[in-house]
Parts: sequence; structure tokens; C-alpha cells
Amino acid sequence: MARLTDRVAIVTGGGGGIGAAVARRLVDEGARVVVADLFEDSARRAAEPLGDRALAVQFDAEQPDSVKAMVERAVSHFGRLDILHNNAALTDPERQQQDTNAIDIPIEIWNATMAVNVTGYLLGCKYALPHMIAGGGGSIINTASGSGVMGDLARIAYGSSKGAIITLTKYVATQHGHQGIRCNAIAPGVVMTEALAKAVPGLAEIIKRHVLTPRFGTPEDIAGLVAYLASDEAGYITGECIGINGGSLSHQPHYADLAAAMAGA
Amino acid sequence: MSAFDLTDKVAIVTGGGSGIGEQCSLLLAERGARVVVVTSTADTAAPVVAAIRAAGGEAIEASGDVADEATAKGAVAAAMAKWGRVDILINNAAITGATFLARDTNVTEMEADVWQRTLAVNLIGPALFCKHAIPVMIAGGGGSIVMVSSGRGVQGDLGLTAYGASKAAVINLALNVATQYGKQGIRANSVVVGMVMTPSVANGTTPEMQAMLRGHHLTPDIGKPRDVAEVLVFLASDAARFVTGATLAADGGITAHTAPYADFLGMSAGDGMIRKD
Repeated sequence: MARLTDRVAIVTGGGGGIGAAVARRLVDEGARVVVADLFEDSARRAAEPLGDRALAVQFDAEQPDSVKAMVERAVSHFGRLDILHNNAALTDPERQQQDTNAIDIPIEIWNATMAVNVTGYLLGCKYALPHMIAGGGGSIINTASGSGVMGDLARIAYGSSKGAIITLTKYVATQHGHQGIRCNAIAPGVVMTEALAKAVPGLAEIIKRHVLTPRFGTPEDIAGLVAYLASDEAGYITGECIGINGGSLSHQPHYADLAAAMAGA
Repeated sequence: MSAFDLTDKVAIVTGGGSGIGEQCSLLLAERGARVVVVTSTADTAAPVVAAIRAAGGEAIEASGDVADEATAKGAVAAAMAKWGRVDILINNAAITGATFLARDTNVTEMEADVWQRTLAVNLIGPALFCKHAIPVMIAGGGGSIVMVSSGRGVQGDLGLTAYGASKAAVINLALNVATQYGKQGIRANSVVVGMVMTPSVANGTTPEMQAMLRGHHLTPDIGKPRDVAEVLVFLASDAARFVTGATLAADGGITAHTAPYADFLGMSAGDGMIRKD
């Protein structure tokens, strides 16, 4: 499909597994994409196979000037801006490890998480919106998470930041809807990459029990949803948060145990 | 006078003879309400009515199949004849017979009569009680209707499909009632109930199953009928006078966390996912 011909997009966190898949998909659909990432190497690796339809830009989501410069670069290089996929998140494993619970979390971990995950998204919107509005409108897709909808045992800062993103999404959609801006959030469940399976032993087995689909989600699944929301096919969808999680939030939490008990009975 | 006080109010509680309904009837009376205890058979209402009277309260019984419109009509008429008003309706009655519930299976195995009977009791019954209670509530200046829903009405599960669908439907019934009669002083809300140790649940589940279900609650234990009754009575009272069209969970947090929570809790002792001091 080529639903995004001549559109210009920014994908933040574009060097990561999901971000790279989104960039690839947007280019496949006809867009030109700025692959923005804190890590220049990964941004380059994601952008290179896409040739002159992609541009790698290093930026730091925590720094207003850096976000601004990244957006300006996108506009000066490709001439306009139609799509912003806010997707960068704090992923440094050492800091993530300390994102625990309300009692134990070091406050600097909380602040750093909010700075990247929430303020970073706001900054993306702040600097991208004027260009989008000047160009006649646009679509913003914010990566939230199932962790932003339901509670869990660890990662209180990550989860809270993702909850904030869902609300940020509704405000942007409300405040700029009449200027042609659509703003939606996506709430992925666990995307079972090899790296993740390695990092948390036993996680794959647990997630498998709780997703309703026969298989795990892939970065390409997420890319498909982002491309759809970016396109005019989703022209009447705004302010929404769309789950993409294999149904893991649709059932009662004891579902898997009940199934096991029934199989044993 | 406290906004929680129910002195001079008249309440109808369907399924008021046992479990959550029994505790709700007792609590309404304790807070000062006069109660019509509706049960499917007369003998189950009598002990609750007797207990309320013994404590100095006022109660009467009305029995019948809630799927039969005559039961709703009769209960409202009894309240009007005795006390001249209706302020509170707790739509709590639902099919609970173990033999019947065993036939409420997954979608492809379900016999049509299970669907029909479940919806007749769990959905149409509450709707008919609304139908007959609302006009007299409005005539008396307003009222509060509470639907007893379930976690199975907001999330999928294995088995009890008709039950789950009926519990989703009463949430919508509450929204429609709240919308249609709000300006006339009617409030309508739903309570999503989790695992509650009623006699029928205690009889219908093994200790292993209960332990498993307890593991998915965020509270230390699963609920008692009184825990839910407290929420129902709050919504019935003037303390909740600005709450309408709401769905409130009284479920020990079972619908608040991610599904793998209990698995993570199990593995956290091993790999330090949460610190244990």
C-alpha cells in the first residue's frame, strides 16, 4: 500500500526494534522519514537501508533545543512535516532496573523517566505542531503501553509515564483538532524480541499464557498500526488510545490459571 | 444528618435473601431504610426480614421469579401500599443454581435456552424492576438504582458466557436509565463485583481454586458479601448524589492490574524483579 505518498514523518526512538520497523513501513507506504534517536549508530543502521527516503538524526528527547533542532532538520531536509511518531523511551537497562516501586525507586530514576517519556513527547508535539498546522494538518502517534492502563509489580515510573502519555494525547487532540491535527496513542503489550527474552528469563512463557493470540506480537504489528493511524484512512480517529497486545487486557487475570485448572480437571 | 443516613427511605433489593443481597438488605436497614426483600422463593426472604425486624427495622418480603413482570410490579406495589414510596432499587438477583451455571459454557457449546433464561433473569429482570420503580421514584422526588455487575461483564473469561454478557448488559442498562431519567432525579450506577465468598461460591469452588483466585486479587483476601454491600449502599445513599452513570469496581483490584501479575509475583522471589526487604 502507498497511503503516505509524499508525506514526511519523524519517528523518535527510530533506531530501536519497533521504531526501525515503523520507519521501514512508513517508507514502504511512500513517506520520507527522519529516524531520530539518542544513539546515532542505531539511527544510521535503521535509516541506511531506506536510502534517500530516510535521514538519520541524533537527538536527545530530554533537551528542548535538541528536539527543536531535530524537528527543524526534518523540515529543512524534506520540506514539510505531516507525521510525528513519538516513540523514544528511556531504555537504559541499568536505570530500568531501578524503576521498581514507590518505596524503592530512586527519585532521579523517576525524574529521568518522566523527562524522556513524557516531557520528550510534549517537546516533540511543541516543535512539530506549528509545521504540521502550517502544512494543513497532520497525525501524531504516541507510543503508550499496556503498562499505562493497568498496574504491575515493577516499573512504576515507566507505567505512570505511559499513563500520562494517554492523557497528553487527548489534550493535543482536543486543543489542535480544528487545526487538522489528529493525535492518537497506541498501547502495545509485550513485543517479545530475542533481546527481551534473554533479559528476563521465563518472561516468554508467562506472556504466552496471557495473550489470546497463538503468537507473540512483532515490531511489524506495531508498524502496521502506526502506519494506519498516520494515514488518511484513520482520518476520523483522534484522541484514542488503541491497544495492540494480543488481547492481554481483554480477559480476567485468572483466565490462564482457570484454563489450566479446567484442563487438569 | 449524615448523607449516608437512609432514614425514611424505602429500598427494594432483588435477590435479597442470601449472599450480597442479604448483606445489602441488612445494611440498608441498619442505616435506616425500610426494605422490600425480593427472593425467588418466599422461605429465603423470611429470615432476612425477621433479622431486620428483630434489630428494630422495618422490612417486608416479596417473592417471585424476577423474569416475570408480575414480580417487579408486585414488589413496587407492596412498597407503595406499605410505605407510599420507593427511593432505592438494588438490582442484585441473578441466576445462581450450580446445575444451571454448569450449563453456561463457552459459546459454541451453549444451548439457546441457557442464553434465554440467563438474560431473562439477569438482564430483563433488572429492566422490569426499573420500569416499575422509576415512575414512583420520580413521583417521590427521585431515586437511586444500583446494578450488581461483575468482572465477567467487563473482561472475557472461560465459561459463564451468558452470565458475563448479561452483566455487561446491566452496565449499559444503568447508562440508559441514568441518561433517560437523570433530569428527573434518578441516578443509576453499576458495581463490578469480583470474587466474593458467598455460600454458593464457597460450595462451588475447591480450596485450590479459591487460593488461585485469591492470588489475582490485590487485596490480601477475596471479598465478603458485606464488602460489596457497603459499596452498593453508598451508591444508594445521598452521599453519592453526584455519582450517576458510573461503573465502580468493588473487586479487590482484580481488574486493575496486568494479567501476568500473579506470575510475576511468583517469580519475583527468585530473580529480584521487586525488592523484598
